[in-house]
Amino acid sequence: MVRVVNAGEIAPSRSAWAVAAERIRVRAGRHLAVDGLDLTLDNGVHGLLGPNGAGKTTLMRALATVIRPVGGRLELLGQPASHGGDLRRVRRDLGYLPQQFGCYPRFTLREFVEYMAWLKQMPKAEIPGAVQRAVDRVDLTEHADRKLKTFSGGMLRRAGIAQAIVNDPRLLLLDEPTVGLDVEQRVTFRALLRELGTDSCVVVSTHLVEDVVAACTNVVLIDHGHLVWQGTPEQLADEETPDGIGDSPAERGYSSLLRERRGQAVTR
Amino acid sequence: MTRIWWIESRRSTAARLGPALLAMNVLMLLTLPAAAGRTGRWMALTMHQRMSLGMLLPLAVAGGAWQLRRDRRHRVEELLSSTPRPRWQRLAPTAVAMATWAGVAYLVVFGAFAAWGLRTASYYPTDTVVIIAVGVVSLVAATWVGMAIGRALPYLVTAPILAVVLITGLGVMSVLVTPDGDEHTTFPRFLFLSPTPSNVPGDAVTIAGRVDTAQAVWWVCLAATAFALLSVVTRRGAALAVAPLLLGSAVAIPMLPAGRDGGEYRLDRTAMEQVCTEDTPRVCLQRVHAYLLPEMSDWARHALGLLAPLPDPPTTAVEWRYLGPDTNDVQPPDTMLFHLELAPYERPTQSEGALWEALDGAAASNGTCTVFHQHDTVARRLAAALLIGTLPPTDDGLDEQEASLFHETYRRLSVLPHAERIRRVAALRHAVLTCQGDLYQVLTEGVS
Repeated sequence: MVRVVNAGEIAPSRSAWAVAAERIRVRAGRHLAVDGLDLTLDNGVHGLLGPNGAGKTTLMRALATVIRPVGGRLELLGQPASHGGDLRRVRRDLGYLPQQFGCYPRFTLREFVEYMAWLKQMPKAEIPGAVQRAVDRVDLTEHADRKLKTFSGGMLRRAGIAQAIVNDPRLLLLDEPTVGLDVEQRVTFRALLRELGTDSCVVVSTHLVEDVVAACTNVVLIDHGHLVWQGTPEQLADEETPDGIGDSPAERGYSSLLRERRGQAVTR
Repeated sequence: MTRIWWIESRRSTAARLGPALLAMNVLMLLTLPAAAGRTGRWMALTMHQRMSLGMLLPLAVAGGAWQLRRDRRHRVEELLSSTPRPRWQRLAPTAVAMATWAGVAYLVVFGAFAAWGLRTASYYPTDTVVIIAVGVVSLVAATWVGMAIGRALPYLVTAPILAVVLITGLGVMSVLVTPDGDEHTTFPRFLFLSPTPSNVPGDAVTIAGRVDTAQAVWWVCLAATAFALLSVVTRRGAALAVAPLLLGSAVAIPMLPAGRDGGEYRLDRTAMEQVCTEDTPRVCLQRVHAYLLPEMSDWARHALGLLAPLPDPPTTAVEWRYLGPDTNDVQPPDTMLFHLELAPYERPTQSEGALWEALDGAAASNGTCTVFHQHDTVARRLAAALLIGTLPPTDDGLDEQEASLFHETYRRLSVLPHAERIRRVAALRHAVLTCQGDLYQVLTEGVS
């Protein structure tokens, strides 16, 4: 079937970055949870770290186009996403696992992932194969035709990851993806993350530093809606100071950076 | 989209709404005078099927509202809002699945009851197709209206409250359409947009074509508005979504007849055609009841035999016909005009009711009388009892006072000599045919 393609669709991306945020401000209700954040992300696995209330989930929601920033400029996959942009083009190449992943419990896993693939406007002929591949990748092949209401918490989390990756997204956003996974599943999941990050931009929001160190190529640390620090996991470990707390160099580096940041804030 | 429709058909509320509607519809047809269908009266079955919408529409609305709770209840709104497919496309398979189940449930029940009566029916009005189709459209629209309301009010209590309010509302509407049984009382014509018919004045009527058209237009427009309200994402869109309903109302309401009892019906002349026995005495029924001719002719001839001792007795038995709210069928002197009263929807030969009805009719008004008296009904029942020589099997049709008067008078009249009884019945029939005199006084003169 021949489809009319508009000029916007074939126009080159305006930005080479998968995520390019310039002083964006995002509200969570009345609260300004992200306040003037600058961020650029390319392909790879990016661990979004920060304490509770740092603005991680709000930032993830903005990157998922669920909420629009109230200020600043946000470009996703080269398309403007802050105001006036065509979000549909971005969303076709987006995978998103919300922090509170909801699903239809009467659907089987295969049906739900298929439904999400359809919502992501994948070509009809590609859907069955893509669904099977996504289910296989999260190791739920044997449970594909079971209803989701029979799934355990960990299985539901993996079902959420399956729906997020079914369209081979160029930008994959996973908010607390390892909650409910056992040790073996987390190790398997880290391997999957590394694989996905080779040709797409994966953003993993978590408060588990060990997950970030094990699976991410880049670390983004935010606090109070601001970018605190950005670097590799190795550089994070190098930030360790004597007063840092934690069981590993990376954890101590993380806490040191936060303390330093908060100290600066108080001094200022 | 077909595949998603199929998933939604099995996994959404549609999969439970369909069986619920089906069960309710069967229940309605079994508890309403549904034997109409079993005894081959297609239009009566169709009307009862439409009447059952009084319960089915609220159920459909409630089901629609319940379905739209799903996204919030299972916290998928955030996930869905990150996908590119437009909202109307996302909801279309669900809405179509709900509509499919609702429509199929309605048609399956009608089909089953129709198949039951298929062998015995003597008249198959094609209007039933249109009338049932309008019913299906209204059911689909109701489902989508429920979904639209469920979107606006995604609460646990929305569906049950809607069901109760609508059952009550439709009940009130049906009361308004027949406010006091007075056919001259008027009401707003838009009430005819309700797909549940008011009192059906007989088996040989159908819903007027312009009422069918107006209802179809309005309910299709309502469905369009409901789906638009379901799909829109802006306030401006919501305001525009009401346009189909306004347009539909502007087109449909002027098409409706003036609001008065029975105004939505028209006579079905083909259904009213007389179908008569070939042998004599001739017995004629309307075509719609012709399947009852073999058994009804026995009772009618029995009645004619009982009337034979009267001077100038009737020689033909003809079924009374409904000719509209202002017109009565006229009873010629040589004809016994009788009501083929099928209520409570038994076949007439299942009781002696047919004979009683036949003789009752013989003593009824000739159709041109304008003055009636208080105890005309008692007098007619007495005449029938005197001819048959026994009391009727029931006192149906008489209130307590009339029943008491009937029994007391019968006790006094039944002891009179046979010739005197015949003379009095003959006088009553003369009074009936000439519209002169109080029937009860004529029958009981000098005895009461």
